[in-house]
Amino acid sequence: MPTIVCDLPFYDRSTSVQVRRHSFQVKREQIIVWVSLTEMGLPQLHSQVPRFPAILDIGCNHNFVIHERHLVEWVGIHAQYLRPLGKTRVSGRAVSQLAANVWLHPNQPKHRDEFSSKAAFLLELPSGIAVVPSVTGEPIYPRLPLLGLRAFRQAGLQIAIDCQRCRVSVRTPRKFWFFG
Amino acid sequence: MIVDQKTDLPELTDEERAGQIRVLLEADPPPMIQRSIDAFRNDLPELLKSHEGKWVAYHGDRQIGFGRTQTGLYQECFRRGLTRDDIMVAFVEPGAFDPDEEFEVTSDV
Repeated sequence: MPTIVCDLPFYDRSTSVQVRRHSFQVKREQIIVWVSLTEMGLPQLHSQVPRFPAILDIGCNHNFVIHERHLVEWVGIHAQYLRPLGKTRVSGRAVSQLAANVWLHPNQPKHRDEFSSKAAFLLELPSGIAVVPSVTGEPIYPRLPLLGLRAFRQAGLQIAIDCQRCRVSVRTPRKFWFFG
Repeated sequence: MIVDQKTDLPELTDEERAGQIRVLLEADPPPMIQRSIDAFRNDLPELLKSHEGKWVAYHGDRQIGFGRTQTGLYQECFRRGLTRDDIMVAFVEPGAFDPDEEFEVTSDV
């Protein structure tokens, strides 16, 4: 599977994504990819595991940051499958790290919210995900989950952002074979 | 052989799921995993010399395997009868599991 995300568009205007029949704003220039989340150690993604949008945030130096409410309502995982890995801080907020991995869903080329029939690509996350707890009276932060650049490193993926065409591609590293 | 730890757990409502997740977020790592994290932090300088760029599995303070993928190591541990409460799989890289690491995001999204 050399190309995972192919010609995925981002926009110079505000758009929206639908999750569980609710609409969420995507601000201009934000790159949305669709992901699933599972416990570590799963070799395949079950077809019934929900997918949800995340912002590809190359300035985020954690693997994956998600608000507690999105973990509850969007991810569809039993807490029994997750293990805490301790606490840390993201942008000054105390967060919990959980042992979990992210699966990146291939898109239909040139479409952001339509999917190809190819299998999702597993991103093995060294220290799991960061979950920002709900605090009464405070807005949900982050507004949408964030997929950081670090999540792509172990797989050595290549990300190409074409700012002229407003398109993004993610692929596995090229392998060259020489025959003598 | 693929080993999958999933069992048939009942469907949960969002409220039930929220309660379980809240408990999880407030919990400390299971004792065996905490021992593994502590041991990994202690071993990291030597691991960086011998196994940088590899995954390592710990059972308590014992290294029990190295591998090219995290999933492969988990599967190997499950085959040996270990469970998620028994093991921790870490990536050997500088700063791994550094308790003082600062994380940031691009902006208030």
